[in-house]
Amino acid sequence: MSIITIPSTEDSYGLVGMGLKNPTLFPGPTNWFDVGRFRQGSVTVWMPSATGSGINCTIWAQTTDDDPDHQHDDTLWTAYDLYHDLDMKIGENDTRRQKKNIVNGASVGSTPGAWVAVYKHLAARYLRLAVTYSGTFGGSDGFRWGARFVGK
Amino acid sequence: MAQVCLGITARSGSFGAGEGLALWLQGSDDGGETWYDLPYDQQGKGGAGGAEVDANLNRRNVTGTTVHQATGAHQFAAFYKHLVAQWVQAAWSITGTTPSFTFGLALVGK
Repeated sequence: MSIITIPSTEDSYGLVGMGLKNPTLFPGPTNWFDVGRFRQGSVTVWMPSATGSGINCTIWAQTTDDDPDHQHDDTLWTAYDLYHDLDMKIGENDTRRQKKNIVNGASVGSTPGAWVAVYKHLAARYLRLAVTYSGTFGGSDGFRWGARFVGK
Repeated sequence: MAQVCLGITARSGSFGAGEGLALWLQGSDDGGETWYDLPYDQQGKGGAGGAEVDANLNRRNVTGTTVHQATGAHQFAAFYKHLVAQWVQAAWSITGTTPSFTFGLALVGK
């Protein structure tokens, strides 16, 4: 079991993912996080650095209809893609709506950067982040990224 | 609010145009005597990997399209932001030649 309950702090936030570098070091997805007590939320992804060329990174949220009472091994839970209401790259003025990807094909040239996705009605009990990489990664190439969930 | 997850694991039979599986949520205002179709706010199909996908908006069928007839395993999720019905049920239709779909359906609500 690797379900992580987001701590019950006044700010109601928790770390939901930390990706390191490339498909070999972290192919994803992250662990499942219990967001059952939140009715709305946001996921912020920060990507402080990237190395390489011709490589891209895409990150999106997933949910599930499984739970520990139904199936104890959460690695076997069926994942369903989760769509947000709004997303944007922090510092820009363009908002995208009703999409799947939080980070949509970030390139080395687009980092460092950060993205936020807003879920106005969070019906999900569990949430995780999936990631895919494209391009050819050299030995030291990759993206450094982390993500945080904030819920209310 | 609620999310409805439809996981299709197998399909057999043959299907012409407009034939296949359609599944949707219904609500009742009289304890289950009468049922009304419910629209969702968002819907999406899983398995697209890193491809960017727009959510389907404000439709009825959890499968998104009019009918679903593709082979293989598929995951669909529909999100109902304000589920005001007191009672809900799933309804579906399956059409085709000796058609069969194996699927699981779950509702997660708050």
